[in-house]
Amino acid sequence: VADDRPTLELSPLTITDIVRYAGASGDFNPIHHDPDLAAEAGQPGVFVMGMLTAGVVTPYLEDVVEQGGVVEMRFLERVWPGHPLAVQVHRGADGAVAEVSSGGKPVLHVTARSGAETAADTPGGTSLCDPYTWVVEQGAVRAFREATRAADAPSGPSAAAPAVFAVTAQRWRNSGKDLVEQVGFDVTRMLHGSSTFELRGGPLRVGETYEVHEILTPVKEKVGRRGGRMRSVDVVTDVRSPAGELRCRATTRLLELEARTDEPAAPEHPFVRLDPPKLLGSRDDETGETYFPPRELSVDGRLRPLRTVELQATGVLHSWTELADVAYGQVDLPEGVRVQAQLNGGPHVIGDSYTFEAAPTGHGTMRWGYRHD
Amino acid sequence: MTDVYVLGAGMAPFGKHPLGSAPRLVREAALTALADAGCTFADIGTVFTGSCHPASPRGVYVMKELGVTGAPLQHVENASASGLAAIHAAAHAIRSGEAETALVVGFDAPDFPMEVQDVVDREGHIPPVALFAMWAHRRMHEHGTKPEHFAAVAAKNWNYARENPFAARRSPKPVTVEQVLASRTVATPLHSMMCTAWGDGAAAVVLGTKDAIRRFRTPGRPAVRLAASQLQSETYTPGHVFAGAIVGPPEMTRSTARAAYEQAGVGPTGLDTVQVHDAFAVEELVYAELLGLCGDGEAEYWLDKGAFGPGSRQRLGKPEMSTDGGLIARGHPGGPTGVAQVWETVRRLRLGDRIGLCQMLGAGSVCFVQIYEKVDAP
Repeated sequence: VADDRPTLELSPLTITDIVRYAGASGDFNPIHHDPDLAAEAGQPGVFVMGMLTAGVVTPYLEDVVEQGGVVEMRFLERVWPGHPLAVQVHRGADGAVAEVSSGGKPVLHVTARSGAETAADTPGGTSLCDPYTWVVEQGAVRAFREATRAADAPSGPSAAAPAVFAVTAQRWRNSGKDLVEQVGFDVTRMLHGSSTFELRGGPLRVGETYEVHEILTPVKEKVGRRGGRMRSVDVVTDVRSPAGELRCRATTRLLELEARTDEPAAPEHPFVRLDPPKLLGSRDDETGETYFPPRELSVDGRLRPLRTVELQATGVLHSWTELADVAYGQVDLPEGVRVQAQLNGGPHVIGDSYTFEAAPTGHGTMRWGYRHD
Repeated sequence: MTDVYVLGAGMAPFGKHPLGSAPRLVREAALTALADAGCTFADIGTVFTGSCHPASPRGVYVMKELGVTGAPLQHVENASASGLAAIHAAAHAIRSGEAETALVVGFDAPDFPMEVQDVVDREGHIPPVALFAMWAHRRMHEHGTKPEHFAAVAAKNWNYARENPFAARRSPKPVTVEQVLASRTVATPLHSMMCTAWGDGAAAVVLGTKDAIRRFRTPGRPAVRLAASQLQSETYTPGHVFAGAIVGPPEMTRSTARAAYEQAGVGPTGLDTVQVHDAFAVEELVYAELLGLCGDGEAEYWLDKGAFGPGSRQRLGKPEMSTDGGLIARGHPGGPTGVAQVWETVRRLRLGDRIGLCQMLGAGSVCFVQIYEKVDAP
């Protein structure tokens, strides 16, 4: 394998490129255009669709599969809008390889080789939708070429469609269901791992009509390159001629990373329990007395260990006050415990019945108090 | 056991002082107390300081103002009761024979900004004013107490403070019940004039033995003997509230007072003047009963008759309470308050009263009760 092209600097992909590609491809996964969702996923911002970067690069290799063959792409890192991109193409006797990098880091690896390889039978799995008819439109091809920076490629009445054009077939489905929803992965943890486009009998062409089957293979679990378990699934799109002959098989591998565990779980509240809301206290089995908040040892100094118990939810208001618009009260529980807490649901009446309520306020804290029954 | 006497007492004004005022306030209060005792700092055998504001300097720093003599020096902190706690510890040192004289200085004046309210609030999710407002509501529920009763206590203490040059709140005109009720509501049913204003300040006393009193004698003046000093912390009672900046259970005052009466050999009927932890007006009514000045649930009855105010002892046989304005009007920096109570007690005993009692609570909580008695100079 010899270098026959120098490294080519590509101008960075932009948010505008993302918008244009979403329209041309039908990929409306919000992780690529919704900054809030990207933030929720722990990302600094939206990132470029893998197939957009791939769509920009594959035209450099399309000549290899002119008579049929396989284009395979592995997505190695996320590509960020505005970051520099460089591509280096290596050509050999039986194909070509494109290495795409951003800031010196490999982000995408594309290989193209001629000749058919896999069996023509559709693999086993769940049908994602009923088979549907797909007409390759001239305008759709042109829009896709523009979105992948190949506007100067021919897009006439019977022009060849891009090698990866089968990714757009899904918008012809009869089912209105979203592919990501059907796969069932958490979109904030989902990655595009790889894609393979196997073309038979030359490229798909403008004006032709095909039958499309979409299959979802069973979910597999494995350990990822950086440790951590991940789940993977293949979406197989078979594009056949009306005679039933396979023209293109697009296989998209989606990955779902393990849920992040860097955020420690909120610690249990020391004395509030939820579902149903309860306060915890301590009971001295020798004296029958109950204390709040929970304590380890008896109150008589003899150091008897105490038992944690749930306190009764309803008690009687001993007294109350209102300070700066917050009501506070002392509620006497049947166990002989007096609890000082915030009160809700006034007006407040000494001697009336009050019931405990609690709700988490986030970050491991708890809002708790008593409500006038 | 060695008797302990108060040889001298001094005060610096309570109220708002500039940041970093502690050394000046301590110097003022201590110099007055030493002069009153007829001695100098060189005559002091041991030093106890009391403060509780976290931004106040520790005692050892401020005591350098008076000299660097090598005298033992202990800094005592017990929340609002830090002043009486320092006196309690100093009395032990004298009784044990460790020292013949002790200087006790209570002070609080922050070196850097930090609101007392923030400090107290941090100790629990219920602010102290809310706790005492609940005492007030409960008392209204149980005894038919009216807001006018709380206002009467407050007005009485505000009016006592008009005569105290060191009080934080000195009204130019007599304070009325109506005026107190017209002040801002802080926590229902308590109004701002029924609540302490906290503040900064310093107070000092010199304690000593009979020998010391003879050595520094100021001719023609009666001596004041510390007849009892008792300290208790909470004892478990049903419905015990464990959490927060609490001052209870009220029963703690009753049992601490009982121990003090026993130690002093006097009872509540022998008291001429009483200083209590009246940070909130309802407290004075509650403590009047817990100290045995009247029966349970009778404080309002006696208050309505004019008890616990000027002339109460002569007309009704009940001691006057909070005669320097109390925490409500004299002010309540945590460190010096108890020492200021003793300063006031000494003043009253020298004027004509015979026996005075000081009671302070420290959040958490602890209770101090001390009884002072006028005696012929030894």
